[in-house]
Amino acid sequence: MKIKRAKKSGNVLVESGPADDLLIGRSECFGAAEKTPFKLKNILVPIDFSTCSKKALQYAIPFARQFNATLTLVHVVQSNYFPGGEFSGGYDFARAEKELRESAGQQLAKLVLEEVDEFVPVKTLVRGGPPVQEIVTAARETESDLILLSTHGRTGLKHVFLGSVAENIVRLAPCPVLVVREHEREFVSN
Amino acid sequence: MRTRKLMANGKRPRGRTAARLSGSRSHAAEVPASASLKLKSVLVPVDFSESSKKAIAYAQAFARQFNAAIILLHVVEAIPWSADYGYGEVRGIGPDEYLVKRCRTRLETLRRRQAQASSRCQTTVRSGKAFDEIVKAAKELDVNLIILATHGHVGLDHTLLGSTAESVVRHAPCPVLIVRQQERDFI
Repeated sequence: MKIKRAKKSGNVLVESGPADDLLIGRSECFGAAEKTPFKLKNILVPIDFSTCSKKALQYAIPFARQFNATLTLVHVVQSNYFPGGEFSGGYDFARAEKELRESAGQQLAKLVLEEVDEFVPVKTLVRGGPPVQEIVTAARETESDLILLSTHGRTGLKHVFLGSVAENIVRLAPCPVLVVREHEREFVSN
Repeated sequence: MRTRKLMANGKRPRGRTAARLSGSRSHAAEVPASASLKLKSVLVPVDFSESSKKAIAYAQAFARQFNAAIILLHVVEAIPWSADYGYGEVRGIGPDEYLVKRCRTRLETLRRRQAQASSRCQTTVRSGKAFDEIVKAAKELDVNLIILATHGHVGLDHTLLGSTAESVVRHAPCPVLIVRQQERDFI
């Protein structure tokens, strides 16, 4: 690659040879961003704090970096509570759920700080309700283009079955779903 | 919803601080800064339906982006046969040669159509149970990603995932991208 001063002041002339194609393909200038057929703006990553769900994050980060996408980490707090005041045995479900949400938010923030480098834009989201529905609505609301999901979260029976949450998300998702498993041949390399 | 990159003092962790924070990360899910996507080959099971065309379109995009090879696969259900060579009847299950031959030519025309778009594309036709052969092919051909469309010929309706896709996701040795006729697409 040669860089010369152009006749017009303040302009630069860049000459690139065939060997520079790779470099140009990777950089954002030279209009390479428009050339790629991918329109991947938002990636939704459901997180349940298991090592398996961290693996989904491990895939999501290079994806986000490659396509300049925003990651949204979502954790769903399932609140199966029992609203009857005096029958609840003095247990304050509403408060418990609030605390769960708060602690989930903190854990997500910690996860982001530990795992995600600062060049990848990340949002975190905590929702309450049945996991599958909440993740699917979160995908709709955040206008996610891809859900990056790991199987064998906490509900999966290892190696044999796909976690039921993952399976149902695949069924109901409004966008393509990339399912990643805990032990497999990977295409993310370090 | 809250955005990240906030420390106690409300500033983004940078430089040395960021390095110190990242030093405490757990080993199990470590992502070095240089982690990148390396996609060598993509397996696309095709059943010649509309939705499998979509899977091919996705595969093309991935192939172009990562300079990967595309492998188109079609699985023909095996048929039971019986024969009598004079020693009593012999039965077995084997490939339907006629169908295999026809599918090979159909897949070949599909490949030729792809050939303009991306350089490396190969085809295979296998015989057996669809999900089993897809998983076996993924293992044997050493693919990094399976791109699968649901609602081929086995899908029930829009709420159900095709049973083949489901089994592939369960048994696949590599990540699986599931593409449906959905509301949003990223290519």
